[in-house]
Amino acid sequence: MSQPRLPYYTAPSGLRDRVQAAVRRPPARRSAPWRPAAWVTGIAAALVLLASGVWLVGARRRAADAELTAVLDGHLRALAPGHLADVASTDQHAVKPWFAGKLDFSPPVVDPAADGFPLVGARVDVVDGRNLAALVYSRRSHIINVFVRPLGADERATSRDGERRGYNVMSWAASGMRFWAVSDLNVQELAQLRNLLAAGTGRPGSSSAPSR
Amino acid sequence: MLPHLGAAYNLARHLTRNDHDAEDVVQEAYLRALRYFGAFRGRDARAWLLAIVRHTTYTRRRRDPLAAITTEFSDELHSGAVEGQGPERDLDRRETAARVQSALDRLPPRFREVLVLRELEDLSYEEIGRIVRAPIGTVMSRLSRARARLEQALAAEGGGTP
Repeated sequence: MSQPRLPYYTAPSGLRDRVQAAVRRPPARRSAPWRPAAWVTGIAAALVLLASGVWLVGARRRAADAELTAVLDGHLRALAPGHLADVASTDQHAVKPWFAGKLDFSPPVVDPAADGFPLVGARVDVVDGRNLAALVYSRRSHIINVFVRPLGADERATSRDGERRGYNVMSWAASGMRFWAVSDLNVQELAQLRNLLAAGTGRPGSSSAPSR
Repeated sequence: MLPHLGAAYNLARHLTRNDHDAEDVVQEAYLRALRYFGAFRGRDARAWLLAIVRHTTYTRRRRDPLAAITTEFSDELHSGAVEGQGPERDLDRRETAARVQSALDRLPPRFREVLVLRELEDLSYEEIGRIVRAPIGTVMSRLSRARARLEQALAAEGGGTP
């Protein structure tokens, strides 16, 4: 007997075009089932990012607040009789070498006496468990303590001003150092000193290169 | 673009037993083929594509209960004459073709698919085995049983080719 011939179905004429069109815009229907999952994942990821961002910012702020408090304490400690300066010198070229061997960094020292902020002296202070340089300036009868330490590796060079217990506190970064200035001096004059110091430390050599 | 569309449609049409589902299957199969084209290592693109068509048909049926209902065999739906086969004026031949088609549609899918792949696509046993995921021996025995059952069905209908 002969093998029965099976029918061969020919594709409808429009099929090729339809398939081609579908191939060109593929995703719509197929991606629908997992789209909600993608949304949830996206939102969760965004929340985690946001939370960690908030936490990081918060952590930075808490660290800065802690340092501000510590710096203010250092200032108050220094005002106690006999604690202001370990080296009482108005000569920046005497003060800067004095730090050598007492610190693992060399703080920039300027003496803007001509602008009415004479350098009074310097000492090594311990703030937040680490040694840093404290430079003492005066303005009329006001004492200004300027604390200097190297910038942390991941620390941002931001500036901030604040006021604590009647004292003005300013912090800024320059030349890879973090500066804290504390005084009962008014904000305008403290800012003036900050600008002088920042400008002075911004020019390498202006303060740090004594003539040989 | 779109190679082996004819073969893909023919297999899909035989497996789904209706035009509409067959077109859907072909479209979906090409989308899948495009997506997995990177995984294509074989030599014969046609066999690879037909395997995707087959797989698409079965997963569709499982996924979509409505598709299962519409692909249930019904005489009204599936006993029509083969269309688009050229000028087949000979009434006898048309009737024979219709009877063959109807008998084939009644076979279980595992018999239908091997018959289509062997008789219409001329694939080797080995290629068929890869497509239906069965050893060659199974393909051969299934094929001979499919032929026997098809002849039986035609004979039982009465007036089958003697």
